[in-house]
Amino acid sequence: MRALRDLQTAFLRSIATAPGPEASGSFDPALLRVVDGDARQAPGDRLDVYAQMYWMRLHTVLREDYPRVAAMLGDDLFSSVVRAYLTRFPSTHPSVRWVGARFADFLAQCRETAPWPLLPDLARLEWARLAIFDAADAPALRMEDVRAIPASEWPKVVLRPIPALLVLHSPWPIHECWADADGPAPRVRPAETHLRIWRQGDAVYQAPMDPCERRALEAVVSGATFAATCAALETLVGDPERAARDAAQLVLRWVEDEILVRVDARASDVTASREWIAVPVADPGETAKNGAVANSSSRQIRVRLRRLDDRPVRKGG
Amino acid sequence: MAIDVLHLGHGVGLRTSHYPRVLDGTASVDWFEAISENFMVPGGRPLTVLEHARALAPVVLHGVSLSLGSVDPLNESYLRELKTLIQRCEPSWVSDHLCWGSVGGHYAHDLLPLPFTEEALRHVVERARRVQDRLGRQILVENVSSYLTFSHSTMPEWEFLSALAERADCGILLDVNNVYVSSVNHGFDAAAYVRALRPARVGQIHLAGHSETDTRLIDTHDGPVVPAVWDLYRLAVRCFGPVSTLVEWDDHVPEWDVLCAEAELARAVETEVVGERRARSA
Ligand SMILES: [Fe+2]
Repeated sequence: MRALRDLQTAFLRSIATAPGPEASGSFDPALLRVVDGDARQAPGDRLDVYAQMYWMRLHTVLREDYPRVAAMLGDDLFSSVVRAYLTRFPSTHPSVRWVGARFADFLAQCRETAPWPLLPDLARLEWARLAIFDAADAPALRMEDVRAIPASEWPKVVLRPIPALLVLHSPWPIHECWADADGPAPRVRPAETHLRIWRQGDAVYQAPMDPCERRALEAVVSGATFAATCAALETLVGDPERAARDAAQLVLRWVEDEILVRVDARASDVTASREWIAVPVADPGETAKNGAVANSSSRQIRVRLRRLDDRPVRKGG
Repeated sequence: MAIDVLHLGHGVGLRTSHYPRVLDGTASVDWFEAISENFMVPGGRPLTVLEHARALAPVVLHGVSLSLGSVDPLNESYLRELKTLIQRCEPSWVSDHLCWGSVGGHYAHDLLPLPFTEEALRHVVERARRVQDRLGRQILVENVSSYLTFSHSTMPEWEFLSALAERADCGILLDVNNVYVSSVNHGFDAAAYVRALRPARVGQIHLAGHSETDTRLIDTHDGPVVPAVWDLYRLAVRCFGPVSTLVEWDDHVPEWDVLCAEAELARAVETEVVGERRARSA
């Protein structure tokens, strides 16, 4: 036990095997023999200071990272789940920022939380919000940048999401649970949910997406040109003119949320020929700023439509 | 040989509750100490705050996860990220702790105590050297508060810390609150600790508050510096001369003005002691 390796291994095992008030039951007797004790405190009491600090620190971190999950489970059950999690997935990253990285996966297999089937996805949402909070910065496309793009260029414009954007899918309306998770488990019915979570300034926002927005954002994430994004929407809405109009409105909404950057398209990216192109034009007077967590679906955005018959889109090659 | 750092004056830790003042430029202080790990992130508010802090005052980086005393291999990705952060924010110096915090790839996120043996000393010296090689600069190593000691230790902590500084050619960040907390917990003479250190090795001083239970003191950083620690600081300035001093306050963090008043108190103590020294030598 005197060798440094043995000592450290026994020390960490002692404080981390059964995190919590009962940790001392797992203290290694051989370790305790090399810890000084005195009349005031036995070696076990001294080691227990470290065991309790280990538990309290990591428990606190997880409660701060997963406040909604903690509120839904209540103090006792949350502590019990955290204890099991820390035993199953001890921290392997130097920064305490990553302690909760596998919590959602753990909850998905946890028997104690089986009565809350939406819990793993709620945890995923809380983790996603943390990831977005300190995701990489990127200068977002502004409305004036959009206005400066000539109409003829729109078909081949490639827009990409900023790094601080994530999409989450869940069979549960986890955004509603997130907004209302302070009490006991709300009676939630399953509802197919597609969220985008993003950062604007320092604030993290989330908003549910309808099928159109989801399809269009998937296209943008995959690197589609604006023309290809319109084509993707057309398969959903049927009508090319409406698809173009919807795509343009979505782009304006995303620009206002500051979630897009522009990348230069290569000619080979442009494969879809569009009959219609909708040029996004925002009217600043009619657009409203975001609410705390959701975008405003009632935002008024004008879209100027023009035919592109006389404006052939370059094809790849 | 010595540790080559500037005297930055009397600073405070960069903590989230005061980010708004850093961002609006009203956080006026001699210097900031930033916890490295809090800024080893891809982007967002933390890095914006760090940029603003740098524009206001010098910044130093203070790590908590180097795990200098661990028997694990050095965490190369941690060192790479630290180096990136160093390049980004050009700290006046970089520090971490005389402790270990991980073994077998499992992190405790705590500053765990080392036995003060020749074996441990050789190990920490070797690691500190490799870290300094990797970072291309000297580091400062801070004494931690401890709640247990090992019966096979063969030297006092101050001897271990001094030997580390000389043999690894690194600096010492002397936390006088930690000296005091450990001296009460283990019954050693705090003044002897301070007097044993070679002034040329001490590059920075920490001051902080602690809390008290029936049986021990705990290093909680949740209140003002207590009189006994001010006395020890006085002794430290008497022994080392003026040294960059930082007030750590991590829990129940007070208003900016209260925090700065604590740093100003440190300045007043230093001014008074330096004045005494001058008067004596005149
Ligand atoms: Fe300290």
